[in-house]
Amino acid sequence: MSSSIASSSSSSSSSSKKEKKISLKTSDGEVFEVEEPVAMQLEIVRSFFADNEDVTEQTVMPLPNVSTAAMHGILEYCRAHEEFRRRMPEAAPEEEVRAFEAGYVDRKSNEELKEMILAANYLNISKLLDFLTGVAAKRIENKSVEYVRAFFGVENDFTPEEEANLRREYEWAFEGVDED
Amino acid sequence: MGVGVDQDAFEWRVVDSADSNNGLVVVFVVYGIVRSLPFDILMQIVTLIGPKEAARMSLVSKSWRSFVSDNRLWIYFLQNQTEPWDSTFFAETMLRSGYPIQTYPTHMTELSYMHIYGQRSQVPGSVIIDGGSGYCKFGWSKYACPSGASATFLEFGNIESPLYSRMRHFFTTIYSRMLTISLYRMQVKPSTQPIVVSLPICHYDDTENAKASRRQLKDCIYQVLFDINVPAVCALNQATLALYAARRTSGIVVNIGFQVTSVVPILNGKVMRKVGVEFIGLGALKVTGFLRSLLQQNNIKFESLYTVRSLKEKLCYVAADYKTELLRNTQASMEVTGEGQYTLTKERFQTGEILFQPHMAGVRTMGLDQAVALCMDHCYAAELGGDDSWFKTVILAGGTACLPGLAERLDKELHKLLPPPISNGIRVIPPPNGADTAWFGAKLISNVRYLTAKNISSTFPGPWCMTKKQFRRKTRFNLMR
Repeated sequence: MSSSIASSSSSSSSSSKKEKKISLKTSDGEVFEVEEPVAMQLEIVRSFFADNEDVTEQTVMPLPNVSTAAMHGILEYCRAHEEFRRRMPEAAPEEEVRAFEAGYVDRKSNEELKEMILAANYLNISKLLDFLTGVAAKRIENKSVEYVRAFFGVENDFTPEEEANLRREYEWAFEGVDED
Repeated sequence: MGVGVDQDAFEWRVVDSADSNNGLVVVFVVYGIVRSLPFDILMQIVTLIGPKEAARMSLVSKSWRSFVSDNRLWIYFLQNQTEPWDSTFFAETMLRSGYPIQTYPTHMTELSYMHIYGQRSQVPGSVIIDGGSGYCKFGWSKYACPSGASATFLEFGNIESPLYSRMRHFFTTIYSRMLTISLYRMQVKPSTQPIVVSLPICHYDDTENAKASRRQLKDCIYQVLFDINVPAVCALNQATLALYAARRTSGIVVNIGFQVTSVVPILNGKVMRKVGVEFIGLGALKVTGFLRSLLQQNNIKFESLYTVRSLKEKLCYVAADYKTELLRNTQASMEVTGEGQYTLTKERFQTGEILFQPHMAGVRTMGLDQAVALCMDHCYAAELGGDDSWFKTVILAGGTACLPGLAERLDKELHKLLPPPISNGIRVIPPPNGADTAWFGAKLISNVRYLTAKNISSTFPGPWCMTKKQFRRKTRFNLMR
């Protein structure tokens, strides 16, 4: 592992034009060529290359739990963060990061958001996962129970009486709920 | 539980299919989204949306209800309240059922913390007035700390005597002062909130006479508060409140008051008058006064007693060993605003030393260590309850008790004075919340929603309180006797 990193860093510095790429294959068969530092943000990729010594640059790593759409979103995020890191290695420019994250997530539908949470969880990118769960929490904040059911795609298995009883029991929690 | 979420979202179904040659096709039916989010991620989201939202989520589905009511989640929410988690836990397990205190606490596993959270969020706040003999601390139970303090003795005189007019003046003044504090978004009116008020530690001899005085004082306080239309009153003595603040229901409370220091043995929340409450005629006033005379002897000038008090609070401490401390260099200085720089040496630990050696200040009484040892001896001899270790926890209370080193010194002296069977396992705890200890004890009581008060959310905790109606009935009964 240590030798591979050392060699990759030396090669990238000697020929900055040709960066080392890692190939990742999504569930629907598309292969993504990803710059190494970006791919290494994916914990699952990092450990795959750390644990398997016989993998080479040509190895295509299959990611059966990640769709192409989600992969696009994830790489967009990771590339942006790599860019921030490269410009300011010490501390990320807080405001810029926040502005990027806000714009980035605004374009995503609820469905896409959930896809990405699943992918981020599988790929083990804790930073992205924390960010996305935070976004999901914001989206269901102050929403009705019906909205949350639709959001997570959960079927209501309570009878109307059961639901009414629960609503009474948790009366204290039902103040100031937004309309959907 | 975690798996439950996933299982509910997926279902294998065997369906008859007309166009299939096999006749039977296994179809993977998924409700809603393509894949359900795993339990730990849902938990992470629920943690982020906060308690109220989380409680609403129990209506989403049965599986959601079971994971949302997970105690760990609610302990997390309770931990993020203004009150420390340990105190919340203590209050809910020990104080919930009111007085007398249960000897055996409610088991943690029996409690649903979601339920507790809901109840606590519905508790109507109460006004807390701790009329300490030196300073009166007052505030609103839902806030993190008292909102203000008034110098009780200087302003109102002795509020330990049952004088109706003085008492009324005291309470109405405090109420009006609370109104003027802009911090209160809500109106603090006597008629809208219940009150938790502390009773001074006095008349604690085990005589009929003392009992009558105690009742007289308590009735006077009730009378005044009900006359200014307070709906319910919870009156507890300062020592017990300090004990609760230390999250204990049994122990010996050493309260260094304005003029008197009292040593109060308490078993299961009840003051053990039969065992004996010890008093030392040496309080905060004498300690500050002694520092003043030391300053005068050394020709250190000061404008007011407030300067002396600041010096006492900031520079003074109690030496672990008085004689060796005299040989050390203990010089330290501080800036008193408007007065300038002050440098003290020996005075720093001589001041607090009079608690252990009262003769230094010309007071003929026993030392603090002797009084506590005496009390422990009595507790030991009384053989109350199954275990004889209830009195081995000593809780310090009162502003002067905050002097650094006091707890350690008392611990050391007690071990010297008492034989091993009594001294083994002694623990001296410094004031849990500094000078405001009793106030915080009262806060614990006022934030627990009690079982018996389930249906009366507008009024207040049943078991700890007296309502106007109950008080009227009681006085009428007493008159008839």
